[in-house]
Amino acid sequence: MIKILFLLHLGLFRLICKLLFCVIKSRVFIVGALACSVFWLSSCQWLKGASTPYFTMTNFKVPDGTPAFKSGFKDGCSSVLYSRGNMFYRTRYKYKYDANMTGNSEYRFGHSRGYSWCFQKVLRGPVASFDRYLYDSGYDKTFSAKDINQAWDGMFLDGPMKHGPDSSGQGLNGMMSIWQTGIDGKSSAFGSNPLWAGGAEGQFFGLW
Amino acid sequence: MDSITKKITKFKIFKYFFVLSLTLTLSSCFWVPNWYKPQGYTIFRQMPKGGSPGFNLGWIHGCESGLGTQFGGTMYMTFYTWKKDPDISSVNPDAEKIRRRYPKELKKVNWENPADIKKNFDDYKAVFWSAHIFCRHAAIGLLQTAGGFSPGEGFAPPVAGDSRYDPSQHGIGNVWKLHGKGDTRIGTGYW
Repeated sequence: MIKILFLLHLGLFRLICKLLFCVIKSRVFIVGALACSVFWLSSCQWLKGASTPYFTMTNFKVPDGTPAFKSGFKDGCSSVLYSRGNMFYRTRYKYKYDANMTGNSEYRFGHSRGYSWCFQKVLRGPVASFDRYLYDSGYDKTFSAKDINQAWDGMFLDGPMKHGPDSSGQGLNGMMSIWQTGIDGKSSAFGSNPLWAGGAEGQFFGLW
Repeated sequence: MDSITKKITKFKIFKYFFVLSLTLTLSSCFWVPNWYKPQGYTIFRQMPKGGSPGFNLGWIHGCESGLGTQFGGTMYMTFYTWKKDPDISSVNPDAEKIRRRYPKELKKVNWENPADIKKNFDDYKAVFWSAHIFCRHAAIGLLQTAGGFSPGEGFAPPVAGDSRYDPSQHGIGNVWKLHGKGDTRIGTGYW
Protein backbone atom coordinates (compact mmCIF):
# COMPACT_ATOMS: atom_id res chain seq x y z
CA MET A 1 0.00 0.00 0.00
CA ILE A 2 2.76 2.41 1.02
CA LYS A 3 4.68 1.46 -2.09
CA ILE A 4 1.69 2.25 -4.31
CA LEU A 5 1.20 5.60 -2.58
CA PHE A 6 4.88 6.38 -2.98
CA LEU A 7 4.77 5.57 -6.70
CA LEU A 8 1.64 7.64 -7.14
CA HIS A 9 3.31 10.62 -5.44
CA LEU A 10 6.41 10.15 -7.53
CA GLY A 11 4.32 10.04 -10.71
CA LEU A 12 2.41 13.11 -9.68
CA PHE A 13 5.64 14.95 -8.88
CA ARG A 14 7.13 14.09 -12.27
CA LEU A 15 3.97 15.22 -13.99
CA ILE A 16 4.00 18.57 -12.17
CA CYS A 17 7.66 19.05 -12.98
CA LYS A 18 7.05 18.32 -16.65
CA LEU A 19 4.15 20.75 -16.77
CA LEU A 20 6.18 23.45 -15.04
CA PHE A 21 9.07 22.87 -17.38
CA CYS A 22 6.76 23.20 -20.37
CA VAL A 23 5.23 26.37 -18.99
CA ILE A 24 8.58 27.95 -18.17
CA LYS A 25 9.89 26.96 -21.55
CA SER A 26 6.97 28.48 -23.39
CA ARG A 27 7.21 31.95 -24.85
CA VAL A 28 3.91 32.93 -23.33
CA PHE A 29 5.33 32.42 -19.87
CA ILE A 30 8.49 34.37 -20.62
CA VAL A 31 6.55 37.28 -22.11
CA GLY A 32 4.13 37.19 -19.17
CA ALA A 33 6.93 37.19 -16.62
CA LEU A 34 8.62 40.10 -18.36
CA ALA A 35 5.38 42.08 -18.49
CA CYS A 36 4.76 41.44 -14.79
CA SER A 37 8.27 42.57 -13.93
CA VAL A 38 7.85 45.77 -15.92
CA PHE A 39 4.48 46.53 -14.32
CA TRP A 40 5.80 45.75 -10.86
CA LEU A 41 8.91 47.82 -11.27
CA SER A 42 7.02 50.76 -12.72
CA SER A 43 5.09 51.05 -9.47
CA CYS A 44 8.35 51.45 -7.59
CA GLN A 45 8.80 55.00 -6.31
CA TRP A 46 12.47 55.09 -7.18
CA LEU A 47 11.69 54.31 -10.80
CA LYS A 48 8.66 56.60 -10.92
CA GLY A 49 10.69 59.48 -9.62
CA ALA A 50 13.78 58.62 -11.61
CA SER A 51 14.50 62.29 -12.08
CA THR A 52 14.10 62.94 -8.35
CA PRO A 53 17.29 62.44 -6.37
CA TYR A 54 16.55 60.10 -3.48
CA PHE A 55 19.01 58.84 -0.94
CA THR A 56 19.69 55.19 -1.50
CA MET A 57 17.67 52.84 0.70
CA THR A 58 15.72 55.69 2.23
CA ASN A 59 12.70 57.73 1.25
CA PHE A 60 14.65 60.94 1.77
CA LYS A 61 14.19 63.29 -1.10
CA VAL A 62 16.39 66.25 -1.90
CA PRO A 63 14.13 69.33 -1.93
CA ASP A 64 14.03 71.86 -4.70
CA GLY A 65 16.45 74.73 -4.57
CA THR A 66 19.56 76.14 -6.10
CA PRO A 67 22.34 73.71 -7.04
CA ALA A 68 24.45 74.95 -4.11
CA PHE A 69 21.58 74.41 -1.67
CA LYS A 70 20.84 70.92 -3.02
CA SER A 71 24.46 69.97 -2.90
CA GLY A 72 24.69 71.17 0.70
CA PHE A 73 21.49 69.36 1.63
CA LYS A 74 22.76 66.10 0.17
CA ASP A 75 26.08 66.40 1.96
CA GLY A 76 24.44 67.28 5.27
CA CYS A 77 22.02 64.38 5.03
CA SER A 78 24.80 61.97 4.10
CA SER A 79 26.75 63.08 7.15
CA VAL A 80 23.95 62.41 9.62
CA LEU A 81 23.08 59.10 7.99
CA TYR A 82 26.56 58.03 8.96
CA SER A 83 26.71 59.59 12.40
CA ARG A 84 23.27 58.48 13.62
CA GLY A 85 22.66 55.60 11.25
CA ASN A 86 23.20 51.97 11.99
CA MET A 87 26.01 49.84 10.59
CA PHE A 88 24.24 49.44 7.28
CA TYR A 89 24.09 53.20 6.75
CA ARG A 90 27.65 53.58 7.99
CA THR A 91 28.87 51.44 5.14
CA ARG A 92 26.84 53.43 2.62
CA TYR A 93 27.29 57.04 3.76
CA LYS A 94 30.00 59.24 5.26
CA TYR A 95 30.71 62.79 6.32
CA LYS A 96 30.62 65.17 3.39
CA TYR A 97 31.38 68.86 3.21
CA ASP A 98 32.66 70.55 0.10
CA ALA A 99 35.77 72.33 1.31
CA ASN A 100 35.55 74.79 -1.58
CA MET A 101 32.04 75.91 -0.60
CA THR A 102 32.71 77.22 2.89
CA GLY A 103 32.15 80.77 1.66
CA ASN A 104 28.84 79.91 0.01
CA SER A 105 25.99 80.71 2.38
CA GLU A 106 23.47 78.69 0.34
CA TYR A 107 25.63 75.61 0.57
CA ARG A 108 26.11 76.08 4.29
CA PHE A 109 22.37 76.62 4.78
CA GLY A 110 21.62 73.50 2.75
CA HIS A 111 24.15 71.47 4.69
CA SER A 112 22.68 72.54 7.99
CA ARG A 113 19.10 71.89 6.81
CA GLY A 114 20.00 68.53 5.31
CA TYR A 115 21.70 67.43 8.48
CA SER A 116 18.90 68.49 10.80
CA TRP A 117 16.06 67.23 8.56
CA CYS A 118 17.59 63.82 8.07
CA PHE A 119 18.58 63.72 11.76
CA GLN A 120 14.91 63.93 12.70
CA LYS A 121 13.97 61.32 10.13
CA VAL A 122 16.73 58.92 11.10
CA LEU A 123 15.63 59.09 14.72
CA ARG A 124 11.88 59.04 14.18
CA GLY A 125 11.35 57.20 10.94
CA PRO A 126 9.46 56.42 8.86
CA VAL A 127 12.42 54.85 7.20
CA ALA A 128 13.16 51.21 6.65
CA SER A 129 12.35 49.14 9.70
CA PHE A 130 15.91 48.05 10.32
CA ASP A 131 16.92 51.45 11.56
CA ARG A 132 13.95 51.98 13.85
CA TYR A 133 16.06 50.56 16.65
CA LEU A 134 18.38 53.52 16.42
CA TYR A 135 16.54 55.22 19.19
CA ASP A 136 13.80 53.13 20.68
CA SER A 137 12.27 56.12 22.42
CA GLY A 138 11.67 57.59 19.01
CA TYR A 139 13.39 60.86 19.75
CA ASP A 140 15.89 62.37 22.09
CA LYS A 141 14.04 63.35 25.23
CA THR A 142 16.61 65.96 26.15
CA PHE A 143 15.44 68.03 23.22
CA SER A 144 11.74 67.91 23.98
CA ALA A 145 9.81 70.83 25.39
CA LYS A 146 9.35 70.63 29.10
CA ASP A 147 8.93 72.84 32.12
CA ILE A 148 12.29 74.07 33.35
CA ASN A 149 10.92 74.06 36.88
CA GLN A 150 10.36 70.32 36.65
CA ALA A 151 13.83 69.57 35.28
CA TRP A 152 16.63 68.17 37.42
CA ASP A 153 14.20 66.77 39.97
CA GLY A 154 12.53 70.15 40.34
CA MET A 155 15.73 71.86 41.39
CA PHE A 156 14.41 75.31 40.63
CA LEU A 157 11.01 74.69 42.14
CA ASP A 158 12.05 72.99 45.37
CA GLY A 159 15.66 74.07 45.62
CA PRO A 160 17.16 77.49 46.21
CA MET A 161 14.26 79.19 44.46
CA LYS A 162 11.53 77.51 46.42
CA HIS A 163 10.24 80.83 47.60
CA GLY A 164 10.14 83.29 44.74
CA PRO A 165 11.30 86.87 45.19
CA ASP A 166 7.69 87.91 45.21
CA SER A 167 4.46 86.17 46.04
CA SER A 168 3.43 85.64 42.43
CA GLY A 169 5.29 82.45 41.79
CA GLN A 170 8.00 80.04 42.70
CA GLY A 171 11.04 78.76 40.88
CA LEU A 172 12.54 80.55 37.92
CA ASN A 173 9.20 81.97 36.92
CA GLY A 174 8.95 83.81 40.22
CA MET A 175 12.35 85.35 39.67
CA MET A 176 11.49 86.41 36.15
CA SER A 177 8.21 87.91 37.18
CA ILE A 178 10.19 90.72 38.87
CA TRP A 179 11.52 91.62 35.44
CA GLN A 180 8.10 91.44 33.96
CA THR A 181 6.08 93.28 36.52
CA GLY A 182 8.65 95.21 38.50
CA ILE A 183 9.03 95.26 42.29
CA ASP A 184 5.82 97.25 42.64
CA GLY A 185 4.00 94.64 40.58
CA LYS A 186 2.91 97.17 37.98
CA SER A 187 5.77 98.52 35.89
CA SER A 188 7.15 96.14 33.31
CA ALA A 189 10.61 96.06 31.79
CA PHE A 190 9.46 93.69 29.04
CA GLY A 191 6.34 93.33 26.98
CA SER A 192 6.10 89.70 27.98
CA ASN A 193 7.75 87.29 30.34
CA PRO A 194 11.23 86.78 28.86
CA LEU A 195 11.58 83.35 30.41
CA TRP A 196 8.63 81.85 28.64
CA ALA A 197 9.29 83.67 25.39
CA GLY A 198 8.78 80.50 23.40
CA GLY A 199 5.08 81.14 23.10
CA ALA A 200 4.14 78.12 25.15
CA GLU A 201 4.18 78.03 28.92
CA GLY A 202 6.99 75.77 30.03
CA GLN A 203 9.37 76.53 27.21
CA PHE A 204 12.60 78.01 28.39
CA PHE A 205 13.60 80.85 26.08
CA GLY A 206 11.60 79.05 23.43
CA LEU A 207 14.13 76.25 23.30
CA TRP A 208 13.23 73.54 25.78
CA MET B 1 66.97 16.91 8.31
CA ASP B 2 66.00 18.39 5.00
CA SER B 3 62.39 18.58 5.95
CA ILE B 4 63.22 20.43 9.17
CA THR B 5 65.35 22.95 7.24
CA LYS B 6 62.51 23.43 4.79
CA LYS B 7 60.09 23.98 7.62
CA ILE B 8 62.37 26.56 9.26
CA THR B 9 62.85 28.34 5.95
CA LYS B 10 59.11 28.35 5.38
CA PHE B 11 58.55 29.74 8.86
CA LYS B 12 61.14 32.48 8.28
CA ILE B 13 59.52 33.48 5.01
CA PHE B 14 56.15 33.49 6.69
CA LYS B 15 57.52 35.59 9.56
CA TYR B 16 59.05 38.16 7.21
CA PHE B 17 55.89 38.26 5.17
CA PHE B 18 53.80 38.74 8.31
CA VAL B 19 55.99 41.57 9.60
CA LEU B 20 55.99 43.23 6.20
CA SER B 21 52.18 43.04 5.91
CA LEU B 22 51.73 44.33 9.44
CA THR B 23 54.07 47.25 8.80
CA LEU B 24 52.34 48.16 5.58
CA THR B 25 48.89 47.85 7.14
CA LEU B 26 49.76 49.97 10.16
CA SER B 27 51.67 52.58 8.19
CA SER B 28 48.55 53.21 6.13
CA CYS B 29 46.82 54.42 9.32
CA PHE B 30 49.42 56.95 10.34
CA TRP B 31 48.28 59.73 8.04
CA VAL B 32 44.92 59.80 9.86
CA PRO B 33 44.98 62.08 12.93
CA ASN B 34 44.08 60.37 16.21
CA TRP B 35 44.00 56.98 14.48
CA TYR B 36 44.83 55.18 17.73
CA LYS B 37 41.98 56.76 19.74
CA PRO B 38 38.35 55.58 19.99
CA GLN B 39 36.75 55.74 16.55
CA GLY B 40 39.79 57.82 15.56
CA TYR B 41 40.63 56.03 12.36
CA THR B 42 37.06 55.58 11.13
CA ILE B 43 36.02 59.17 11.82
CA PHE B 44 39.09 61.27 11.14
CA ARG B 45 39.71 59.65 7.79
CA GLN B 46 36.40 61.17 6.73
CA MET B 47 37.83 64.66 6.89
CA PRO B 48 37.00 66.21 3.51
CA LYS B 49 39.92 66.46 1.14
CA GLY B 50 41.01 69.55 -0.75
CA GLY B 51 40.37 72.02 2.05
CA SER B 52 42.58 74.90 3.10
CA PRO B 53 44.91 74.37 6.09
CA GLY B 54 42.47 76.41 8.17
CA PHE B 55 39.62 74.16 7.07
CA ASN B 56 41.53 71.02 8.01
CA LEU B 57 42.53 72.42 11.39
CA GLY B 58 38.97 73.56 12.07
CA TRP B 59 37.62 70.16 11.17
CA ILE B 60 40.07 68.31 13.39
CA HIS B 61 39.50 70.68 16.30
CA GLY B 62 35.73 70.51 15.86
CA CYS B 63 35.73 66.75 15.73
CA GLU B 64 38.01 66.36 18.73
CA SER B 65 35.82 68.77 20.68
CA GLY B 66 32.68 66.90 19.68
CA LEU B 67 34.10 63.53 20.64
CA GLY B 68 35.20 64.96 23.98
CA THR B 69 31.64 65.82 25.06
CA GLN B 70 29.29 63.86 27.28
CA PHE B 71 27.81 62.37 24.12
CA GLY B 72 30.69 59.92 24.15
CA GLY B 73 30.92 59.55 27.90
CA THR B 74 33.95 58.89 30.04
CA MET B 75 35.75 56.77 27.47
CA TYR B 76 35.77 59.42 24.78
CA MET B 77 36.35 62.24 27.27
CA THR B 78 39.51 60.46 28.37
CA PHE B 79 40.96 60.72 24.88
CA TYR B 80 39.46 63.92 23.49
CA THR B 81 38.75 67.36 24.82
CA TRP B 82 37.66 70.88 23.83
CA LYS B 83 39.99 72.24 21.17
CA LYS B 84 38.50 75.36 19.63
CA ASP B 85 41.22 77.95 19.25
CA PRO B 86 40.10 81.18 20.92
CA ASP B 87 42.57 83.27 18.92
CA ILE B 88 41.43 82.04 15.52
CA SER B 89 37.83 82.54 16.61
CA SER B 90 38.60 86.04 17.84
CA VAL B 91 37.10 89.06 16.09
CA ASN B 92 40.56 90.54 15.76
CA PRO B 93 42.93 87.55 15.51
CA ASP B 94 46.64 87.88 16.11
CA ALA B 95 48.02 86.19 12.97
CA GLU B 96 51.62 86.03 14.16
CA LYS B 97 50.65 84.36 17.39
CA ILE B 98 48.57 81.80 15.53
CA ARG B 99 51.30 81.19 12.98
CA ARG B 100 53.74 80.38 15.77
CA ARG B 101 51.21 78.11 17.46
CA TYR B 102 50.58 75.96 14.40
CA PRO B 103 53.86 75.90 12.47
CA LYS B 104 53.10 72.51 10.95
CA GLU B 105 49.33 72.61 10.53
CA LEU B 106 49.17 76.09 8.99
CA LYS B 107 52.48 75.90 7.12
CA LYS B 108 50.84 76.35 3.75
CA VAL B 109 49.02 79.54 4.67
CA ASN B 110 50.41 82.58 2.89
CA TRP B 111 51.07 84.73 5.94
CA GLU B 112 52.04 87.67 3.75
CA ASN B 113 48.56 87.78 2.24
CA PRO B 114 45.82 89.09 4.59
CA ALA B 115 43.10 87.72 2.30
CA ASP B 116 44.53 84.21 2.51
CA ILE B 117 44.86 84.47 6.29
CA LYS B 118 41.24 85.61 6.55
CA LYS B 119 40.05 82.81 4.28
CA ASN B 120 41.82 80.21 6.39
CA PHE B 121 40.42 81.59 9.61
CA ASP B 122 36.93 81.80 8.11
CA ASP B 123 37.22 78.20 6.93
CA TYR B 124 38.24 77.19 10.43
CA LYS B 125 35.18 78.82 11.93
CA ALA B 126 32.82 77.62 9.19
CA VAL B 127 33.59 73.95 9.53
CA PHE B 128 34.26 73.73 13.26
CA TRP B 129 30.65 73.26 14.39
CA SER B 130 29.73 71.02 11.52
CA ALA B 131 32.55 68.65 12.50
CA HIS B 132 31.67 69.02 16.18
CA ILE B 133 28.06 68.01 15.66
CA PHE B 134 28.94 65.18 13.31
CA CYS B 135 31.56 63.68 15.57
CA ARG B 136 29.59 63.86 18.79
CA HIS B 137 26.68 62.21 16.99
CA ALA B 138 28.99 59.57 15.59
CA ALA B 139 30.12 58.77 19.13
CA ILE B 140 26.65 58.49 20.59
CA GLY B 141 25.34 56.82 17.44
CA LEU B 142 27.83 54.01 17.69
CA LEU B 143 27.24 53.52 21.39
CA GLN B 144 23.48 53.41 20.91
CA THR B 145 23.73 50.78 18.22
CA ALA B 146 26.24 48.72 20.16
CA GLY B 147 23.62 46.32 21.44
CA GLY B 148 22.58 44.76 18.17
CA PHE B 149 19.37 44.83 16.24
CA SER B 150 16.82 44.98 19.05
CA PRO B 151 15.56 48.17 20.65
CA GLY B 152 17.01 49.16 23.97
CA GLU B 153 20.04 46.90 23.79
CA GLY B 154 22.60 49.59 23.06
CA PHE B 155 24.08 52.05 25.48
CA ALA B 156 21.78 54.96 26.21
CA PRO B 157 22.75 58.10 28.08
CA PRO B 158 20.56 59.17 31.00
CA VAL B 159 18.48 62.27 30.58
CA ALA B 160 18.03 65.02 33.14
CA GLY B 161 16.62 63.70 36.37
CA ASP B 162 17.01 60.03 35.44
CA SER B 163 19.90 59.18 37.69
CA ARG B 164 22.20 60.52 40.34
CA TYR B 165 25.97 60.29 40.31
CA ASP B 166 27.08 57.15 42.08
CA PRO B 167 30.81 57.20 42.94
CA SER B 168 30.86 53.42 43.32
CA GLN B 169 29.98 53.07 39.65
CA HIS B 170 32.77 55.33 38.53
CA GLY B 171 34.77 53.53 35.92
CA ILE B 172 35.98 53.88 32.36
CA GLY B 173 33.67 51.08 31.28
CA ASN B 174 30.69 52.92 32.70
CA VAL B 175 30.54 55.34 29.87
CA TRP B 176 27.79 57.62 31.09
CA LYS B 177 27.91 57.16 34.81
CA LEU B 178 30.42 59.87 35.59
CA HIS B 179 28.22 62.90 35.50
CA GLY B 180 26.40 65.19 37.81
CA LYS B 181 23.45 65.76 35.52
CA GLY B 182 20.26 65.64 37.51
CA ASP B 183 22.05 65.58 40.84
CA THR B 184 20.46 68.27 42.97
CA ARG B 185 23.11 67.79 45.66
CA ILE B 186 25.76 69.44 43.49
CA GLY B 187 26.21 73.05 44.50
CA THR B 188 23.94 72.71 47.51
CA GLY B 189 26.69 71.87 50.03
CA TYR B 190 25.16 68.47 50.83
CA TRP B 191 27.67 66.48 48.76
